[in-house]
Amino acid sequence: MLNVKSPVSRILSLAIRVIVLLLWSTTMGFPFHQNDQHIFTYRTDREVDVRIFLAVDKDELPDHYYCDLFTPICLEDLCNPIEIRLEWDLLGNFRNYQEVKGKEITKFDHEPFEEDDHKKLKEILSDKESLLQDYHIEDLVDTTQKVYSAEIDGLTAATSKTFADKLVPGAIYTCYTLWHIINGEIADKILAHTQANMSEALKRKMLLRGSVAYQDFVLDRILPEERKTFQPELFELIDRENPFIAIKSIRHLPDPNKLEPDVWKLIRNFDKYVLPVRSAIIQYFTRYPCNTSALKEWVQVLGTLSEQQKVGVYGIFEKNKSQLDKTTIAGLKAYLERRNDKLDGHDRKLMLILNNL
Amino acid sequence: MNENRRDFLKAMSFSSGAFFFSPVDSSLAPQEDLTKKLQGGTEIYKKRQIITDVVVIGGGMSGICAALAAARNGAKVVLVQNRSRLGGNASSEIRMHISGSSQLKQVWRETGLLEELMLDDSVLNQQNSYPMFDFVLYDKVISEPNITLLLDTALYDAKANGRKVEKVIAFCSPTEELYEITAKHFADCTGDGTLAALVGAEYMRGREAASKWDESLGQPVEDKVGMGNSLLFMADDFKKPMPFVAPPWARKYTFEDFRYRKIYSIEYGYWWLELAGKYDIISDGQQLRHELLSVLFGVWDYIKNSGNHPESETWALTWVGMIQGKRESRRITGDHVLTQRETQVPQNFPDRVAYGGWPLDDHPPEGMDDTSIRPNRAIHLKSPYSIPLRTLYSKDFDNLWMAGRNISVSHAALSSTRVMATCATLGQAVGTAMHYAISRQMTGRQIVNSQADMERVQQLLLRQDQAMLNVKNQDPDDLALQANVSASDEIKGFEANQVIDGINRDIQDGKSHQWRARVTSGQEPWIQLAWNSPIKVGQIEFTFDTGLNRFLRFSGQKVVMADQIRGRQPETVSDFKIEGLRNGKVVYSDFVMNNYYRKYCHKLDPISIDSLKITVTKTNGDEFARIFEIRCYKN
Repeated sequence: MLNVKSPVSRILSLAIRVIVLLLWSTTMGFPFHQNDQHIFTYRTDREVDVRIFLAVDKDELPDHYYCDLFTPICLEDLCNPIEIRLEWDLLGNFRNYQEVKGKEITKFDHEPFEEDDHKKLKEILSDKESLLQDYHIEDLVDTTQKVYSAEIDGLTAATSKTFADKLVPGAIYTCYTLWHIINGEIADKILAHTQANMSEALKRKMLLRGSVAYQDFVLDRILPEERKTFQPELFELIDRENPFIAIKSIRHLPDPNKLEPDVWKLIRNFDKYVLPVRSAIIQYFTRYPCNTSALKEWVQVLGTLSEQQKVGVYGIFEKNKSQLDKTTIAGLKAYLERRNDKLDGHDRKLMLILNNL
Repeated sequence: MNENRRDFLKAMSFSSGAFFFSPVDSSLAPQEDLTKKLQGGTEIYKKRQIITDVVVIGGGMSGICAALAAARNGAKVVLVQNRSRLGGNASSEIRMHISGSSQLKQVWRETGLLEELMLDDSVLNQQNSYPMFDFVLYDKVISEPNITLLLDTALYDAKANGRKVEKVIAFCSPTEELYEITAKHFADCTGDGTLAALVGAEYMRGREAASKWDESLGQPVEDKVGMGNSLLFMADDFKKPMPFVAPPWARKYTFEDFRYRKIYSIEYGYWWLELAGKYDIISDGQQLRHELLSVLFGVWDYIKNSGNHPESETWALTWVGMIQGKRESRRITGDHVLTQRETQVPQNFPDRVAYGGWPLDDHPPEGMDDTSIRPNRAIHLKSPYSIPLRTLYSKDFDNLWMAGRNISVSHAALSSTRVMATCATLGQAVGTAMHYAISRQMTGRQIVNSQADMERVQQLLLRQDQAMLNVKNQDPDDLALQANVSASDEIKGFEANQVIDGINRDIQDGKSHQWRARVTSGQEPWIQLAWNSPIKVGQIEFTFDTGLNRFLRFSGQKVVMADQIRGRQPETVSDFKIEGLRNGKVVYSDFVMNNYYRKYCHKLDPISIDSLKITVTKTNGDEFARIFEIRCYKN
């Protein structure tokens, strides 16, 4: 669990946190929760200290990180300083931002952000691969095009046409500054903090209530001895939409013999999965010894298999032929007889194995 | 029989032995005592001595354009190509499509010789056949009287004296000929910078530290690896089950390996069949090829037999590449090293001779050895960027030039300049510059350091339709620039006088730089250039519109061919009448038919005229006659 402390120090630290947050929120106008923890402070290249907090949920589990930021944005003073709450997820990815009422983000010449501008900005801030990391701020403006600014009675450079869909037009400094604060060193520190404070409960929460990125992250950190513990989560993830997560979950399943009867649903629902997941299920059952019950389940779905899947499942029968009981053998023979004139080499080989039993 | 074999062995030993035998197994190198007893030796090879103006080593897109440019300007050229076919990475032997600045999705398709070649291919190879593409290139080169083409001929040695490369020695195995070629100027278009390495010119390899040139694609610490090689394949649908059994040495892949490597279609694949890793791209090429084949067949095995691509059941491989497409090896150091920042923030180099526009597209050396990482990282560019002549000659030699991927760029900049359309324009720049250097007895450095000479080279390149930025026609020999222009009609924004405004394409400056008038049956628009006093004209040059906003390149991949127009480009003027007038009387006339080129040069016996009238009678499909530029020269 996170930062286990003695009751006294916990109360003290809580009190300090409440005072700090109260002061902070009074200045910034953001809500806070008394259990939120200050994790570290980061100084931006504009010499602004940014205090990063961890927000916890009602179960005291880490939920997300945030900071309340007040910083100048434009080099030319054409837009207001920004006052904003930035939020990261537990992996240091941009999560969201909250504006202060009356101090909303503005564009060039203090124009307010439209709904589409917010959508675009959030998209940009979420893109860790954004080319904002590869360009200098001055590269993003088109010095050949000047835009008139009524407020300062002068001209300033326009956003370069090529970057128009990569930036919020008229708000390049906002995009650039926020992207670098969000995706720079703070993100790395947040990830490191989460990594260092993983718990079983947090893993469970991230697996079921989190994004694909969370699932990916946790699945990569499930130890062999934890596989049985996370069995319900793994089964649930197999049924979800993302085939990469489903297959990763299958690869984590322990010996199917230890998971009966739950594991049979993988066979019973076989044709409901997408093709790559079906292939992974066959590989899973091929990897371990199968008992009579599992083999019986496979016999039931034979009619739904493609030729390639059939070959894989026949391999399971062959590998576990000693587990085939009379009913299963009869079921298999009946299936093969139904194929009759379509019997191929694989069918004949299986028939031979069955006849020799 | 025995004696013949011994002669053969000795003959082979004149080099390192390993060169002619299997480079994998050096145990085949002849023993010294045996060699001493042998008779004959390399004397069985016919020795050919050639003295020429220019030698171009390498017959890829850059070598072809370097040879064509030098030859068309008047130099005698020997083009040495180690394969039976021209085209390098673009040829039927590798089958990578020619990419370049069209990727900016603006108007920046490369012009010049490459455009001429692509238009030829588009018209002559509408069957979309790879061998035919090779022959389009072959036809272009072999038809050039100033070029001696040596196919199947490999460079293996070079001699230099001081700052001058003197000669190269090349070997043609099928004809048992040894060539010793002495020349005034040499172009290293090998891709690997082999010629430069042979003469001891400085070159770069590996990835530079980010801090060296402020490059975001740079590494925390410099290393010695780079982007990998690829092998491609092609496949077809045979409309019946086509089983595939992978060779036992094929790698095994699962669904997870393709998280970042998408199999969208299966007729052609895939640039990400790539490896470099621990291998030296040049000297470990034999092993690397086998590893790439094991990757290729492993991926095809996955497609065919994993069960995840049932649509592949009736598909089968029809072609498998055996020659690796290389992305990176040596980069020869010039007087300037182009860096990532100079591609992102274009510089108006005084010695600019070409441009690039492909994204910075860096590939990790791991390639298919690590499918958990993305196969590339692309940083899009805001506009095309200029490439200076200083990156196209060796800083160590006065007569050694380079074009292609082996020019003087950082690893990060290479990730953009390496694509073949850019390489081809570099070839044209170098070919033209070499001829200029010969005709003025100058070096590349001297040309760059002389503003007047550099501008003359740029004007020459522009006249020959080279893809360059911010160079305007100021050719003092172009008589059209002194003319008054009028036309039968013109569309607003496409006025007649734009044919002499010095700019021969859309440069996204808000102007069209083009005369445009409607062509219908019964309406044949004309444009006229008139001079205050008679001029003598021996050559009239036209620049037409070929739709530079589109892609124009041949590929085996359906998605690459989509949205292209194969055949003649509709915007181009096809048929037109040329009339020279003096005192209102026609003193010259000719009719041109079936044009599909962007740059068309019309030669005539020099004649004195005071006006020139061009009447467009037909386009290749468009409703408008479109002419970017008309130039007139005495000869």
